Amino acid sequence: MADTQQDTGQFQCVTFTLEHEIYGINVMQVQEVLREVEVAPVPGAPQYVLGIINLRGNVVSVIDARARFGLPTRESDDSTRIIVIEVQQQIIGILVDSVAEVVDIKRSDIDLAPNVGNSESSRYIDGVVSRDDMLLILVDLDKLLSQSEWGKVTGF
Amino acid sequence: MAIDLEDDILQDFLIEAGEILETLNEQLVGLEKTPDDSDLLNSIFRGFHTIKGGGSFLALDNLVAVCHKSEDVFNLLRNNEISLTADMMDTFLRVLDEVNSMFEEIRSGEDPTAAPDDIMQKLVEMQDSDAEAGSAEVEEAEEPREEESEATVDPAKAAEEFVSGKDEITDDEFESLLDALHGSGEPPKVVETKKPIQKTDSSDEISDDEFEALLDELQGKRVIPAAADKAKSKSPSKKVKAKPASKSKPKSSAKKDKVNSDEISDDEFEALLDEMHGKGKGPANSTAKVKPSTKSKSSPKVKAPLKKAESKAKPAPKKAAAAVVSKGETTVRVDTARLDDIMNLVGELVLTRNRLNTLRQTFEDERVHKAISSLDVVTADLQTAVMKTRMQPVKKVFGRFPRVVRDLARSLNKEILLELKGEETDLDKNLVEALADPLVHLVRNSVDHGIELPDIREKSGKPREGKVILSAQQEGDHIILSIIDDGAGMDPEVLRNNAVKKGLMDTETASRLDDKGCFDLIFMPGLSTKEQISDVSGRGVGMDVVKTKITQLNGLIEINSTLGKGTELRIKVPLTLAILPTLMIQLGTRKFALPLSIVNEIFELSSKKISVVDGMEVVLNRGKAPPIFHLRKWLLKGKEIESCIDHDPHVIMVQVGHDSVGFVVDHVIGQEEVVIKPLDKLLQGLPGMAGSTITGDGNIAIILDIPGLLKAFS
Repeated sequence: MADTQQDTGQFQCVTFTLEHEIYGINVMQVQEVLREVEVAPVPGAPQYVLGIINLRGNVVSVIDARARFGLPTRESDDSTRIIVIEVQQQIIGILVDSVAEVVDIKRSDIDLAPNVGNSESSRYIDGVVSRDDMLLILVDLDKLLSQSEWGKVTGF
Repeated sequence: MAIDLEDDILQDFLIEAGEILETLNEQLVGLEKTPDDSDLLNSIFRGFHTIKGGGSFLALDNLVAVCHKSEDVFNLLRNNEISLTADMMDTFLRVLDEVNSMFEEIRSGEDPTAAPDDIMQKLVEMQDSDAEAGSAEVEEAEEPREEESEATVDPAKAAEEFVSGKDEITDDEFESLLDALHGSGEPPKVVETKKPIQKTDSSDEISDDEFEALLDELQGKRVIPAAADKAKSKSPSKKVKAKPASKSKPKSSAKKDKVNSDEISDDEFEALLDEMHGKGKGPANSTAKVKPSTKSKSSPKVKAPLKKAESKAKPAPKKAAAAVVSKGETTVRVDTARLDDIMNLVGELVLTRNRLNTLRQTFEDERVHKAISSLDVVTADLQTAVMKTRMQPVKKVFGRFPRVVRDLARSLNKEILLELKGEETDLDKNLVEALADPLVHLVRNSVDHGIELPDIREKSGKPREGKVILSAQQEGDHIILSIIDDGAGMDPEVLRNNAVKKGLMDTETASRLDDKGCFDLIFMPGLSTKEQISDVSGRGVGMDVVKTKITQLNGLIEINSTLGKGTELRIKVPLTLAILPTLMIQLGTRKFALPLSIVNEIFELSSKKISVVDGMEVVLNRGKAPPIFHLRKWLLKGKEIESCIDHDPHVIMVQVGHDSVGFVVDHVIGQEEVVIKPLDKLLQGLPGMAGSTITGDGNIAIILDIPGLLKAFS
């Protein structure tokens, strides 16, 4: 993600909501957005891994963004979506409350994340952008699914 | 000289020569047992010659030098001018190792280093040791012999060379060939060349049939020199002798390629004919005369050598072997990645077919049913057909064992006879590769631990020479590989004590093990029966790795051993890895798949009596009381576990090692062939989960790994 930002000075973000907060991920990492499909749970998987889905013949793991960010779980509803992203050559689905829009972000507008708050979620935050009185939180997917996290999962 | 790895010719040479080297390895060890086998000698001679030929084309001088010397020695050997000694065998094997390492160097893009002088020296000595005349002749026979040899040989040889070498010949090379053909242009030769052309030049376009006929002609002629050579075997004119013999193998395979016109285009081929025609113009008329005469001269003799050539080609790598079977058959080299792609696509097709089969009930229309039925059949056939393309004879693995056993036996001062059975059994390519290491390990074990020293064997009334049998056979959709030795066998008591001594097990548990259970102890990490650790084996790692590997392949391994009589190891693996027959079951709303291979029996839970023994539920079945486990407790979570069971639960009995275990499931859906989709990184390594698959209704089912599941939950 860092590369695209530096190259253009401007990039596009897909925004999604979780517990009334708006988050953004680089559009280049997003493959598609799915309405919620049936997720098959995998026994023994870590709590934040919801299970696997059938994405046109491919099996894709889905993680629960709420669980990952330390937010309370919530029943899924009509606006629940799965964002399919590619990170570190892996295809992963992320379950979010809703997907809003695609916005242009100027790199110069990004502020460092305030070093307070929920340590669970701030770990995966790249920075914040204020737009129209709203705060957009940029998620670093590489960190969200960083190698050490992989390790934790497999060492389960 | 820098080696251009991009060079197609080089790459093909490496593949081709690699196969020859594998065969040579086998043949050399075979030769040790039957030193007088002239077929074998010829075949080895050809092997070295072919490598030499390819090597010299690519200017790999060091490789050529050593192959050339070996070839010379084998030439003497096969003419009975010198006889084989054990010392020579050692040298040949060293030569082979040397050639192998040269190939390694070539593969990594380096110019091969020259073979050590002492090897070269030995090879030279071998030639000198006996038949001085012979060796002298050979030396000088190198080039000039051609003239003296029957002229008829040349066109055949040259044309054959064209055919054989020509997988990827360029125009230039081709020209030079023709020049060679022309250059040594004795009249009779040209006449010969003419023959095939006559056939074709009337019509501009050459049909496959004609082409084949031409090749047949060439082949027919090819034998002449061999026959002729027999007649004048006194003067070993190298060229003449070598060519027909050495070419026969590659030729037959290349011929295939040709007929298939895979690599050579029609145009090229026509160009060849034109060229030949051009050169041959002069004595065109004589053709008719010459043809019958050559035929009649050669045909009586032709039969035998031809046959010989065929029988010889057999032990050669699969391609050549296949090539001999029928001339109409054709082979193509295909990148395995492409085959994998096709396999994946077929997998998808199988899934789609499964879905259609599920949907079928919803259609009223008879025509839809028919269409789906035929799709069903075709898909099944396609699946088999594609699987077959990936099949390789298990020989590919077995081939290395004669050498392994020989070397090992030598270093351990044992006398061992290795017998290979069922080498032609076909196995999925991935399996062939995956099985190689475990098998090597097991065979080494048999040789090291199993077979006793000759003196000890004699004392216990056995022949001095120990026997190791390595066999493969197909049993349904499984392959059974077994390694049988007639060695000391294993003592269950010793194993039991060992396990206790090493703290792997308490005395009580150990004493409860039956003999088979004791044998299985050797698969536990850290247990070795050998008192002394040799560099071969005995560290107690390894067997557990073997077991893990076999289990990964959905295979089973079992041991039978009789103390004093020997040991038998049986490995059972599925024919293919890509498609897995499973038993689909349901827990709550979730579907799971169990590998069908380990399912023994299914019965209704209500039909049997359940007792609780030692806090474990057991079911009385066939006079035994295997434990049963409720899978829903293991695999469902939260409220799903408690959800009411309103259907008839079944017990599925599975075999894990020697234990029989029952699983209680809500529903048995039935048998389904599934394509394994591995879980991604995020979920890999979860205990008891082997992968996932997409079921007939488009949903996902988790494929269970029963041994892993038992380990994790029970």
